[in-house]
Amino acid sequence: MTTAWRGAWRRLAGSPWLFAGPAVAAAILFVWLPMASTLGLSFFDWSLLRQEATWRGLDHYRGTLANPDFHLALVNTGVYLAALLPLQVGIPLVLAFALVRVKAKATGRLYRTALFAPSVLSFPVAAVVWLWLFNPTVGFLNTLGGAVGLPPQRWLTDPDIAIWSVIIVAFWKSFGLNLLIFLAALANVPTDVTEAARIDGASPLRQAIDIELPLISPALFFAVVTTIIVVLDEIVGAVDVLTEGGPYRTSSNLLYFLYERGFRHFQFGEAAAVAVLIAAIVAGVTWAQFRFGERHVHYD
Amino acid sequence: MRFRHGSQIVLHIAFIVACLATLFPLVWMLRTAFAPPHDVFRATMSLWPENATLANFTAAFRLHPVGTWFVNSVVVAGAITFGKLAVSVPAAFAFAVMSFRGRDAVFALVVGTMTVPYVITLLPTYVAVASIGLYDTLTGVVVPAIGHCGFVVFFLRQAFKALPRELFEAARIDGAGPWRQMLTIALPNIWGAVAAMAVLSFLGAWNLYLWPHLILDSTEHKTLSIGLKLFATTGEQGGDWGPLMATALLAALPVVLLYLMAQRQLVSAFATSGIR
Amino acid sequence: MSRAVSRRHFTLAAAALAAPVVLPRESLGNDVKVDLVHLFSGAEHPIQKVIKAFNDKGTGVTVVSRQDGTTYETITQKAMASIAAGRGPAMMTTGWKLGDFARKTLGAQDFRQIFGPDRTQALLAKFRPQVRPLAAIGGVPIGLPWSMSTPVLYINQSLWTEAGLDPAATPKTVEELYPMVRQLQDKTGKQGLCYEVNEWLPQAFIQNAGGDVIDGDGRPVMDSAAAVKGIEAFVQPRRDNLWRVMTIPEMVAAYQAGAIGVMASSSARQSVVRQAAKFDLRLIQMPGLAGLPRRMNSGGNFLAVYSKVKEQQDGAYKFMEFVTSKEGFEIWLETGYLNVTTNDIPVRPGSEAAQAQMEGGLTSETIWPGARGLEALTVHIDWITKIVNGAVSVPDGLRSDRAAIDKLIAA
Repeated sequence: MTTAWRGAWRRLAGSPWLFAGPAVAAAILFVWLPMASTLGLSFFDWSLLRQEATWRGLDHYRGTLANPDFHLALVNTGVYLAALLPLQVGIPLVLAFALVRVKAKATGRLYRTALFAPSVLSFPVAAVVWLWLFNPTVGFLNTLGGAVGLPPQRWLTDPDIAIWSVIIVAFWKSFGLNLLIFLAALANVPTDVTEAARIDGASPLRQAIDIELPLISPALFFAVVTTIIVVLDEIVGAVDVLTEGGPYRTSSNLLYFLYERGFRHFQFGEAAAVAVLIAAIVAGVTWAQFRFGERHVHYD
Repeated sequence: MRFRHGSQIVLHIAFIVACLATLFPLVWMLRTAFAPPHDVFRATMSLWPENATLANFTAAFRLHPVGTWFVNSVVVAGAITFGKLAVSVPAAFAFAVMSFRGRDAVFALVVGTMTVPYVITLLPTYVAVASIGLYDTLTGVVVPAIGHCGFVVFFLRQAFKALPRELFEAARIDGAGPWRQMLTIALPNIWGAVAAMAVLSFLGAWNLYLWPHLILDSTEHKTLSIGLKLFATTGEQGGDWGPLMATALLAALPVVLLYLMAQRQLVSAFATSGIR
Repeated sequence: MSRAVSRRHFTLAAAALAAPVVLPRESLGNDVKVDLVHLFSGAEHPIQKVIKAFNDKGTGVTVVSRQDGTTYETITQKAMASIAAGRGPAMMTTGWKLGDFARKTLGAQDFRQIFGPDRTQALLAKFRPQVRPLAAIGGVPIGLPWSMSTPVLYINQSLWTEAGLDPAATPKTVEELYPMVRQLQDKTGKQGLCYEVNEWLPQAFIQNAGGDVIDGDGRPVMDSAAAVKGIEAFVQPRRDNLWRVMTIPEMVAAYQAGAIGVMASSSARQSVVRQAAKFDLRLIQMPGLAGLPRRMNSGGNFLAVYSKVKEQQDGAYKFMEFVTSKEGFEIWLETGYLNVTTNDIPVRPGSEAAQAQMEGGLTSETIWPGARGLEALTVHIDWITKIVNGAVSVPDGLRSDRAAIDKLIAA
């Protein structure tokens, strides 16, 4: 090899684009391009079997916004959020504050491991475990209820109960993650600050609210963000296994609605419009969070 | 001392109750997985079956290709993890220590993918995968998933940036090219961060549901997560709870082990990812 | 973070990940592989026996069994995805109700084109004359009408006699049945009755009341006065607390466990129910409505060919020849499906009620018309479920049902 060639080779091999190129290509190919295509697709009727497209303009948006099933999915998503946000942020927060006050550190770690255990499971695995507990005739919950004289419940087929059963499973499966986040944050709170407060005679409660809470507000903020992602996205694995969104869509959510329109009935154009609407909602929520975060979250 | 002895006891009692309640469904899964068939349906509340047996595991393997599902899950999660790291490590290195035109713009392009909800990419990706003949293949599941590596790049870039500049200066003087600098100098110093990302990606990929559910069709191409759904909804006999719980246990085991092995990395990954 | 620890753990994890085992694919020699998508669960199910008996014959064709779900809706939805991706099933047990959809949307093959008129003729000649028209959708023969079932009552005879009911009683109408169920529930403390919640059993009620779900011209008419009367009779036991609503798998499991006195379901579920039931089981004909002529419906599936490959089509033909032979059909009847062929096979014990119901005359199952027929069907099931759960009154629910279906059929 001549020196000129070798130089060119070295320049090429050392080019930053060789390092960053694959990631950039992947991001464009698998995220940005599909995102643009979804937007385009939402203006068409697209038949998967015949690979034909017909222009529909804004029809799919009008149709979706007028669809009572979409309204139900939207309301249900609201219910999931309204129930899971306080549960999944509040309870782990209380647990974390209590756990750092446990003096026996080894026992404390044991508690942490136990409480976090369900969080490593996937949603479908968690759902299958609960499917068995919820079984109306031979499941543990109704056996236990029967032993204390309660009538058997239809945990997954009663339209008034099904969504709450999914919420229980989602809470059980994911509260541990937030607990871990809070514990990690509390571990970073400088001891001299809490020490000073204690010497000043602040009660443990005051100490937690006035001193520790503001200091871990970034973690709180992060927990809220991940909980919203869980509700909007991952929970679909539990919904599909437990209820398939039923009975008559009372436990469905936005993503499940999209799944039904797109992949059960193959109305791809319509489903694309639903995807754009979901993305718009997510963007809206994220924007609101960050506006809120700017004002109330203290980064040091 | 505001927290006296008595309050410590109350604290412990509260935690023991909370832990038992949390662990109960898992205990019940274990119990059912090891219970002989006649014991599964007994209206009982005893926590352990009298004659524990492995029969449910053999039954599960007979009813469905559970072993194949397990291997598929390992392959999918392993390949996604490897792919994400292979793509992200050099990119993160370039964004952290190299300077080139358009760097900030491209960095935004890659890390910006974090803000895109993946639902909006679902339909076209599905059409693309189907039209190039990758429907019902593990490759069809793995390749598009690698694209969502924004967070890994972001996290590793932070780790590379935290390394002292002099480290690279010395290497450059010694004549080491950028690849050698990355592999022999930078990478060994951020093993912890790489391990955290590996574990996180593996857990995420092991738990993937909707995407493989859409792409994988044949029974023998399924992963455990979606095989479980098939298992749970195709048993009409009503006698399959034991084998189903045995399969659920198999699906839970690797992630539980991984968690126990890498608890520290995970905690630190969560901690740092949230609190920047 | 301790580097030593993390590195060791990382290596361990990496080693575990980097072991992608390449499984040896099952070798099937040079046989033509024909996959058959169906909805029957269990390794002991008669479909597995039929397939095995055929494969053992060594005809150069291997049929591969593929269960994709437990309802016709699910397996059809999945087939649609795989057909779109160019990997559709070669054969699929297609629900009667989805016949029109199978032809228009999924592209089920016309037997006359793929087999030729003579072979088609020979195949269909094996079926009883009154069944043959069912195989043709819009005049086109697209399926082998091998699976015909009808709704029957499954009676837990142990609970029935324990309640002091006449062991041989066969209620002819639901008006006769409901008081018996009341007595059973009061005396034994078990749930008296369970109906399956889908579109099929309600169809029997609508027809027995003199109505129709879809009329002869393909228009939805499930909100007629007669249909409302039928559905009112259907949900009455739920209002009287004789029937606690559950999904079909839940119902089957509860019934097998002996927790339900009487269950109404497809006669084809017999093999599955019998397998695990540890009590005396008696099957009787589905009751009609007092003072009205019986008009029971049939249901089930036909075996349709979706493959566009000549070798697979010929392979499917060989399998169909075997299925319709006396040897093949005898195995198939273990399911509880009816003998619709001209083969002389004695009625299996337990199948008498269903066979008698068929000989009394059955209507076909509702066929959901149009390219979006599958969606129309799921919408209809949704409304029936709402009505059954009392979320909406019967007339209101059926009216909204019809309005929604009208729109989908027009689309």
